[in-house]
Amino acid sequence: MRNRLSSIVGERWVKSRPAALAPYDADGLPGYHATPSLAVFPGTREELIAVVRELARTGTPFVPRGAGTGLSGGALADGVVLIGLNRLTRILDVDPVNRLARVEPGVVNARLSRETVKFGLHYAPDPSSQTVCTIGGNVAENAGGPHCLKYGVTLNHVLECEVLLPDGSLVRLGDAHGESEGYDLLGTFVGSEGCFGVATQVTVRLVPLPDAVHTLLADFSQVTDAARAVSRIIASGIVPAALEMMDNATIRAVEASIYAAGYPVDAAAILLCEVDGPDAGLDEDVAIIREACMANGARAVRVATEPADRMRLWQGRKKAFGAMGRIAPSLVVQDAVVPRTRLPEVLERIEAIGIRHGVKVCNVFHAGDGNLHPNIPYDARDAQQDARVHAAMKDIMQTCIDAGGTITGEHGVGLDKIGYMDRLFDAPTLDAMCRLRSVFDPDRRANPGKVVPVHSCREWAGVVR
Amino acid sequence: MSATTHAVTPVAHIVRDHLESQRSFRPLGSGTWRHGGGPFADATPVSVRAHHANVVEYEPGDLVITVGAGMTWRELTQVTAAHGQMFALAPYGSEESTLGAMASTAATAPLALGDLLMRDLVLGLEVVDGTGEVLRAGGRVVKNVAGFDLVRLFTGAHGTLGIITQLSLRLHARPPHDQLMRVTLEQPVVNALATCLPALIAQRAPLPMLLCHTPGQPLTLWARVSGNAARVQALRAHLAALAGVSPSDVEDLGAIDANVDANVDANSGASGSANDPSPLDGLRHTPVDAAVMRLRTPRSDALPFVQAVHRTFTNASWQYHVERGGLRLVVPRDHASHESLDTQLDLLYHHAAAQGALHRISMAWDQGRAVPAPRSALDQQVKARFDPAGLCSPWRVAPELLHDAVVQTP
Ligand SMILES: Cc1cc2nc3c(=O)[nH]c(=O)nc-3n(C[C@H](O)[C@H](O)[C@H](O)COP(=O)(O)OP(=O)(O)OC[C@H]3O[C@@H](n4cnc5c(N)ncnc54)[C@H](O)[C@@H]3O)c2cc1C
Repeated sequence: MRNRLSSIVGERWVKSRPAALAPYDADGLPGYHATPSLAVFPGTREELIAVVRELARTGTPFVPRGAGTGLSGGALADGVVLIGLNRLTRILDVDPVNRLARVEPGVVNARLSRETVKFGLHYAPDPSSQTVCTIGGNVAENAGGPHCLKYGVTLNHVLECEVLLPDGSLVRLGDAHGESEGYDLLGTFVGSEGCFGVATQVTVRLVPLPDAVHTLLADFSQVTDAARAVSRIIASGIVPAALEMMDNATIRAVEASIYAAGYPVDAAAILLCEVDGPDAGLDEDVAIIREACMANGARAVRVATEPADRMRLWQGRKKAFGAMGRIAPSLVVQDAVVPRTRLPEVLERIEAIGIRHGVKVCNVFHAGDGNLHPNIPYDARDAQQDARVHAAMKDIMQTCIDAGGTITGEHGVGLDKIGYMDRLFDAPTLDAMCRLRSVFDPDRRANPGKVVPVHSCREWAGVVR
Repeated sequence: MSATTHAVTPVAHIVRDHLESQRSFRPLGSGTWRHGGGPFADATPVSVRAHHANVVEYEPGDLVITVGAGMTWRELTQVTAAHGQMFALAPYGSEESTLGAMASTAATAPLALGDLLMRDLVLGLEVVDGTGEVLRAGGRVVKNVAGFDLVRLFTGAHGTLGIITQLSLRLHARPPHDQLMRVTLEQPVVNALATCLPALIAQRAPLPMLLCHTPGQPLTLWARVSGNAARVQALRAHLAALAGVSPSDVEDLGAIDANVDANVDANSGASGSANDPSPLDGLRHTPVDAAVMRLRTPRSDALPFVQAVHRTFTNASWQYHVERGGLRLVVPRDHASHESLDTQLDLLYHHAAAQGALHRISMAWDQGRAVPAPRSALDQQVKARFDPAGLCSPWRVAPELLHDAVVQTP
């Protein structure tokens, strides 16, 4: 196989020695490691197609990988071929009149916005990993980000994908110029975590930059007060561009790091809330949000309108995971969603779970969506600590399910959460997911073993090879 | 939805009966749009409204409601209005449309709040698929990527993969102001298009707008203007500038949900009269026997494209959605025979190309013509996996793109 793939992409772009494969044995989620049998890095769309066709010809399973920041173990290849897409970095077209860009899957999210700003446009979904994660990975995970509260998640910004199916055939899903008719196969492909095929080209919507942006920082002495303020703001009819929460443990981690943003270190929680749009009416929105925070126990509300001040406030939020990384060698970044009204109660329970298992939970999350990120810094080399962290995570996930929520809002199921799928969905629904997958990948060669537990696929029980 | 609910729904029993006796079936909501996507093969209508028309769960603070798929838009709106909340879109057809049918047809709507589509608003579904299984897909939270997206699969499948019995929908808090506004463009239509359309295409404000034409009348520009008082005033001025009139020439048709306010009865959720005019009524006109088509081009082709539509379909009304580049065309019955429509469509391509539309025009039929078969091998696979016996809404399949050609300048 090595030779055949080398003949397509060149010797240099097929790696098989353990040392060369080591960088690809994890996706930032501690505790999960798996080494691919080999890794291949096509440099053009044509090479990518030839690679997948070769794998199809020989019935070889594979895992597509972008930047490997998925955090749920989704991009791990355990003894199968890894296809690295990070050389496919061309922005193929920017069409400012129709507000579209067509890109290769390895284009880094933040670069797309950087290169379209000159047209007064940007790509709205902004995962906190945006400086490294790829559009292909974003599509596979249906990634979100702070500004998805107003602008929508990746799915709302992807119009068309060229997809290379595992059998080597190419299909176009969606339509660059409007909602397409027929089954919404693009909608099912986005978020399929690499199990339906490889996105070879993605056409995304670009959004005009807003005329004005105001960012508020509200600080609270009670976490539950901040959670109530969130509900109050949402109920006012204003749709903030972003509404993020950080608890004290996170604030301290950020303020002790090079990303210090001037957050009050004695606050139990802060809310970072942004409104944007036409200038007219923004001050009124700010006044209503300020009032909602104060009425729910905020100690103070600060407003930043200058780009430099706003950037600093955001820098702290976006680098919070990095800052937590300084507390301990490993960090579990979790991702679950609960109905907004259940936030106060669920946050209290999470705190109790942390105390019960003797772990430190830091919360930094998309509060406007109820999308929690309970994170635990720890030392994965210590088996006892590792066990306690995993036990705490299980309890947290169950708490979110019990509150009517879900186990992932943006990072995907991958390997990490596959064990929760049958707590969330019943057997016929999981079987239906398997049926949907089999439309795209009947042999289960694309990212095998991820997302849906295999025992759920009744249809395949008789045909598994 | 949670794995803990295992009840088999009344509709599932009916579907299983049909599967056993190999009789075909199709879902029926309020029956306000029986022609949509038709005609159909013989199939027993299975009434969703009769069995699943209640509110299942509503926690207003979450801005999510779970309802039976047989509940009508009007009933939903009455329940949510009592809490100062709203569903972001009202269907083109009738306010008596059921939500199940709106999801099933991925209903389009004039001037949705925030330009949202049905596909953006359905968070979770309970469906009886063509194998008789009850599936509970998605959930009740606004963000969810757990598993493969069955919600997207069933939304817009036109009942060909199963029958939707329950939905969780995303709601919005009503903004302080949410008005429908209209400007009449007094010049001849062709001149008005030439001056107004380029400005509309270039504009950047978040303003859902429709440019509308009814034969024999001047063009009108409609917009949904929402937010606080200061923003509404600014957007109104912006709208006037786009249309080249003064702000006082912009008609304010009133609050979008004015007719709902008058009839709130949160307890029964069923009061209100279908006769109250809604400001949106001026945009809803779908004669039963008309041909209804959705045409699309890139926004950059807006002017030659809309001009060509106007020149070709002289007896049709149309509404052009500026942001999405989509045009809804309603051709009255006398002009809607298949042959004459085909001739007119050929002419449209010719006119569009001659006037400089170099890109693609694609179209789908909403009403007025049979839609023959799934359009791709993947579509066929999907159908086979979810309705292997082929008994579920036979003949009524996802509308295919009949014209999907590249238009060349002659
Ligand atoms: C510090 C940090 C902060 C983060 N913040 C956020 C956040 O705010 N919001 C959010 O949504 N996520 C966030 N993430 C998670 C992560 O960045 C996203 O999931 C991102 O979309 C992954 O992109 P990637 O290129 O790294 O994909 P990878 O990790 O390489 O792959 C993820 C999955 O996508 C598949 N895949 C990759 N490319 C393709 C392709 N072209 N075709 C088909 N399948 C493909 C892989 O097989 C795998 O299953 C964060 C991660 C980190 C480390």
